[in-house]
Amino acid sequence: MIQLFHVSKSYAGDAAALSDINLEIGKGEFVFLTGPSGAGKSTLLRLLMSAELPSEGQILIAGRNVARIRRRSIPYIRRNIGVVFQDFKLIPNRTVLENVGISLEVMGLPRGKVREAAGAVLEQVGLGHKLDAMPERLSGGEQQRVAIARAVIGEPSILLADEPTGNLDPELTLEVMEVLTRLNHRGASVVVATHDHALLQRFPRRVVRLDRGRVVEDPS
Amino acid sequence: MSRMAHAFSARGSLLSRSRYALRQALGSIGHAPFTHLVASCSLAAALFLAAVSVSVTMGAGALLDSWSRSGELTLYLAPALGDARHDRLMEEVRALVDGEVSFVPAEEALERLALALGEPGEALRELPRNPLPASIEIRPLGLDGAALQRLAASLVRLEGVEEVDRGGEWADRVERITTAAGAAAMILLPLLLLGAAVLAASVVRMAIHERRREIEILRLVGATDAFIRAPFLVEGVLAGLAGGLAAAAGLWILAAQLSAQLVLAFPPELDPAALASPSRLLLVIAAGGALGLVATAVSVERQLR
Repeated sequence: MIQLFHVSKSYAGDAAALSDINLEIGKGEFVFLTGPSGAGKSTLLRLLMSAELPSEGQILIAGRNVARIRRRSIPYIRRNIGVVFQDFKLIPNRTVLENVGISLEVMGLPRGKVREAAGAVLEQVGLGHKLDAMPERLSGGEQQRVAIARAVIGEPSILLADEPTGNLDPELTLEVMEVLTRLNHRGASVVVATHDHALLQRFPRRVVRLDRGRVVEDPS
Repeated sequence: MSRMAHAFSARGSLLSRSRYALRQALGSIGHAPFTHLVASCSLAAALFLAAVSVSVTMGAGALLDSWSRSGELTLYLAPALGDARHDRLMEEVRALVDGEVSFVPAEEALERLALALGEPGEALRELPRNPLPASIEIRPLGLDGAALQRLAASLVRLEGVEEVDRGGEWADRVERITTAAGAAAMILLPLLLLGAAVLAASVVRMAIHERRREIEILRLVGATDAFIRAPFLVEGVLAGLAGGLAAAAGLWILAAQLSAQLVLAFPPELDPAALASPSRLLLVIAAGGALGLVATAVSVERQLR
């Protein structure tokens, strides 16, 4: 499902953020990306979601080389990738329901279906009572759950999550992991970037460890 | 492909996207009504001035054309010539002219003027002495401007003819004014319309700037450029249509005021009612929408690049 061949990413004037990454994540696999701050976890996720292009190497998503894809094709790739951003990236002037529904609205779904699906997924993450709230009125944990609901609503074949439980208490962490696991059980490949060791111990999955832009541990 | 995308992308209707674009555009207008009002007003002013000057220029052109096509000559006769001399003059003119020749007695000339002036013309009938001379009206057949001028030169030499009027002086004056107004309009109107379009584009540019975070997020969740662009384009079209409607309303009011208040009848080519003909008003409204669309499209393209 996801293949990286000798992928490097560097920014002008900085040390390489990623160096010679080779990685393969299968369909329906659940992978934790871990490592200290600055290890390259977020950069790797940004490359996978086609927010940036690699400086070197090839990235294949479902057999398509995203490093060479035409710009106009990128939105269609992204519709198959749900992303939970570390800073949530919620639209401030839209309600919780609208923020979640936007992933379906870009596909051209009728508004009624969008609202129905968004309401259902918000129920799943425990925010069924906050459909009409604005993001600024929510706590960090609630905003994070809205971001997760938006990422999973389209039932993407790949889900990328950058520290999705960073702001959550243990109980909510469990709920969020259940949502991700449910999606994974339906066949989606899930990649979660985290430096939460407790999470890795509590949910034993394949762990890919990064350090200074290199893969230093991968059991596969 | 995600299950949702697979299930719905084929049916992802244009209607849903259009509704989304309209909702977002209306939301944006509601969010900043004053800036949109300013943009619409400037478009309205530009369209109003453009429509008025184009109408006047076209009307004056049509009037000149009609004058040149009619090729009428009027011979003003010396006073107190007597009926016998009038008859002889008519015979001399008929001998020179192939066309329609008619004698207009001084009394009939006064009556015509009184009728043309309407109510104020009643006073003319009370004058102790008719100040207008008798005249001979001539409509020659198949003469161009030069031949008409030669005919006028030969007619003015007839005994008893004081003056020959072929409307040339008026026509020349109107033509000079029309040419000058047309040249000014050619320079000023594009500038005016461009200024209004730039203002409309600036409003959209501000809206894009305010919503840059939203645009970034939309891109990250898979929005195409067309999806992102559509609400801004709708916003531009709506602002343009509002401007066009306001300009059309202004033209309608102007036409009604001119028709009601001006006493002298206009020639049909300059009829103020033509300013507000349904087709012209529709054209002004459509031009507003088109101007808003083009200005916004250029602005959005540059901003989202």
